[in-house]
Amino acid sequence: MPRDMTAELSDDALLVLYANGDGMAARALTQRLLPVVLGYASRLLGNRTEAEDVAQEAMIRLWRIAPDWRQGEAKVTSWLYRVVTNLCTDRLRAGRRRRAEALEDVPEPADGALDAEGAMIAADRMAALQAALDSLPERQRQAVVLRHIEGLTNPEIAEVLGIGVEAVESLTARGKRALQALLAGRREELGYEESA
Amino acid sequence: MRNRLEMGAGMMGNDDLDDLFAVARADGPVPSGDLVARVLADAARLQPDTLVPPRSPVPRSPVPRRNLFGAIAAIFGGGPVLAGMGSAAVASLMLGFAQPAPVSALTALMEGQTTAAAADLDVATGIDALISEE
Repeated sequence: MPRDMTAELSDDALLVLYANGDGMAARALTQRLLPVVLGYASRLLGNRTEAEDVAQEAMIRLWRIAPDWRQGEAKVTSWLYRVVTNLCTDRLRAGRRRRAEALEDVPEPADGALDAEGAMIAADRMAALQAALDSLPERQRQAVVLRHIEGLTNPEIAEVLGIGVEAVESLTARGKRALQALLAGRREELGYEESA
Repeated sequence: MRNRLEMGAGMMGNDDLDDLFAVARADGPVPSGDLVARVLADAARLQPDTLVPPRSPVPRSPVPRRNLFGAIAAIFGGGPVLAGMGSAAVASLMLGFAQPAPVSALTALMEGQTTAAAADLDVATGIDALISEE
């Protein structure tokens, strides 16, 4: 299949093409889904190296399920978020979390438009946010990241986490309040000026 | 503007937090080339091989040459059918020349030439002997 045609296809369709042996489908799916998987895993684990391992494992599971994938039954991204959530939970429970590395591994802003001071502030903000996310209870962290960083709706989050929508609303609200409390006192340090 | 009602001195407001989330969304980690290569290698290793591979060129067998007999046989459905028809024709000729007695009597009866021939007609040769043995 020509490369430019894959951009118009849904994740579902690409997965079916992959299962049928299409060579371009895997590349298109990787280009589209790997950043999503890696970003979510990074926020949950706070560690780039471990997040890469999880992302690779999640994609392996995607390749393996491709022949049995039923189009239209579930969103590929929702399925992947659920896989990543479970993989990260396993890792965190196994005690392999390394918070010190996490703070070092927070990605630098890639955009050259920011000046040096702005870049430092942005990096500081991301480090502070990641540290605060790391401090949240597991379920709250998952719900907050899915809602406010990954941009999922509450019903989608409910499907990913296997809980009700009301529980999602509660988790995200408590998570946000906890983040505000954790980041209290750092507004000025993070470049948020006091209002007059 | 941030939600000032929720802010105390130095407290993060909703808007500040939303700003942090927005930066996080924009600055998602970019997969390294190494990770992409690993994922694509996995994909190639695990991809089902269901596409029909291109066929290797096979030399076409030469078109069989047909002679006259082959052409005639093809019209009647092939050599074996033609052989059966030939056998039937030969048997008919033999019957015509030999004129066996039962056939002649039957022919005469059908044509109504004589009643004596009908009396001599024995269509089940040997049946009398079998009946008498019982």
